[in-house]
Amino acid sequence: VKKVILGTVLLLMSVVCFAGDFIIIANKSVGESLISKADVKNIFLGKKSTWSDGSAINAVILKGGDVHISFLKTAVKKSKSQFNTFWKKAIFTGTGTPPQKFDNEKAMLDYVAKTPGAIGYVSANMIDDRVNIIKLN
Amino acid sequence: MKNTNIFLIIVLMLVSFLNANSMLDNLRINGFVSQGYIYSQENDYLVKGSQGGSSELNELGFTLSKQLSPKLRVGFQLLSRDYGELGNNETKLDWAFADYRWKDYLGFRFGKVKTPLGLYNEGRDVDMLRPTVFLPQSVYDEAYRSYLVAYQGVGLYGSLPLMDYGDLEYNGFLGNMNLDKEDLPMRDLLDLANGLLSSLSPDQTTYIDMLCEDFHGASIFYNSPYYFRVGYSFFNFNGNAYTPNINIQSNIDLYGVFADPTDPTTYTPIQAPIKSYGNKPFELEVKIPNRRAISFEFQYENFTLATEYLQETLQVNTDINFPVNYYLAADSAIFNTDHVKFDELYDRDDEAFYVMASYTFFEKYTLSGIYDHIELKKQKQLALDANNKPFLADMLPSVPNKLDHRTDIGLGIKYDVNFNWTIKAEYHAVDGIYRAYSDLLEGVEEDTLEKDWSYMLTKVSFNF
Repeated sequence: VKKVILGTVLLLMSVVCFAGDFIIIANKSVGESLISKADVKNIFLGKKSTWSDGSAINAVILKGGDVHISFLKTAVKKSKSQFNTFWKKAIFTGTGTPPQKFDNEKAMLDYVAKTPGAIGYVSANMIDDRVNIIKLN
Repeated sequence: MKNTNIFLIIVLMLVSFLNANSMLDNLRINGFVSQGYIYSQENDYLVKGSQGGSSELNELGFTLSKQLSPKLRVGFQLLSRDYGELGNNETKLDWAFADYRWKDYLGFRFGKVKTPLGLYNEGRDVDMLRPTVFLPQSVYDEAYRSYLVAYQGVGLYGSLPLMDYGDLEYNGFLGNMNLDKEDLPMRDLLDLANGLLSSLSPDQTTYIDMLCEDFHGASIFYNSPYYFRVGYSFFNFNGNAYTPNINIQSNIDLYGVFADPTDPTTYTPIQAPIKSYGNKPFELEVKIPNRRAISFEFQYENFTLATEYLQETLQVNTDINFPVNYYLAADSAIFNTDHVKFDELYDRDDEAFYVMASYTFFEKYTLSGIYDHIELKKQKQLALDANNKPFLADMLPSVPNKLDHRTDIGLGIKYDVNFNWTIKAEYHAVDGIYRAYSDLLEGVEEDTLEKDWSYMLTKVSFNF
């Protein structure tokens, strides 16, 4: 059974990875299994705040590292510096609250696993069955 | 700085108290502080004495915000700044509002909110949001900040997804505004009003205040999936400058008198110096019927290109509306008029344009270049014709070349030490002195300023 699960996960990974270096994950409460690139970008820029069932989205990010930079470049279309500036502007003009940050992928994975509505990203080797994998369409 | 420090210490003590009592759950506490240095050549710029170098260039902000529910957020920011003659480190409430986001496509803001104008107006006071020390001054003029920076009222905003074609962001607002008497528009207005008042009431010290009860505008931006965004924004400003009741006494030329003020047929033309008396408030109407900007920003990986084109019209009208009794010198006749109106005392059109490019390399270094140009397109002012009748004269032909434009070419570098610290340095060469703050520099006449001049800036910023 484990081999089947592992095989399924690896198969999914080959579908959902941007350039093979991160996977988008969500809490089990999230009904979506497919998401558009535009929606991913809007979620992490604070423009999309609810899932299709109306529940609140809780986006979380990493503080740094290759996975974080790759995610921003590929999914959010911004450099780390541009992304930081975007959210600093929101903070200091009162127009938004930035995503919660985590020091490492393990901490992010644990948070997403236990927090309803949460969405994040980790590298492929971090995935476990406590979270949903969200594919891009 | 003294008042600022005391105030912020009180705020920090309050925060500590609340924190100790577990009242700060989900409360975000952020802040920033920056200190700059300016050195100019040929002309002082912004700071009197900047030709010898000045460190009167700082900002200090403290921000609290709390997400009360998934849809409701509240917050405020205190700001203290010193830009030479502006700010002088008085702590002010920069913004404070409640944000109710009903849907992603429709939210509401109530309170004092940063004005959504162009690419950078909302974040103009936060140094680390931009690659350069100053934003392009043709569009984000520091001396005119008070009527650009924030509105008090209600705003609506939202983001409309366009599937794979990006999204539309919009903002609209309606409200009023507090104006800072030390800002340049107010100083210009005071000069204008006092000049007029001194001819009407030479023996009195006049006092003038200003309100803006009608300030509204909107912006819309298209965010493309192809690394660029383009937008249009505008606002309309209707303000009034006024004095309390003042006694009007003046020698004026009278064009005629009525033997019977109630009978127009009894009018007799005459031109003689007479005395006039009145006791009424004096009002000036200040309008910015057009301030509109077209904006474009392109961001690809570490490269950013931003450009904006701005048009602005400023009009100052007066409605000298006081029923005065005009007495001939011999007191032999009385002339009543209840309405003397000059349609326009002052009318000015500006056009501005800038291009700013920046490139980040080795993650921490950003090199920037700016071409920034502002030009006076029209300037009309009240004048008297040969018959002493008021008319709006075109003043543009008499404006010296150096006073009708300003072109600023700048080159700068930014070093992001880490997430919290930033260091910047830049050099600007400038041609022309239009709207170059000379009015802020007491005792400096524009005629004495050099057409070609330059300035250098450095700044260190910290944010948390």
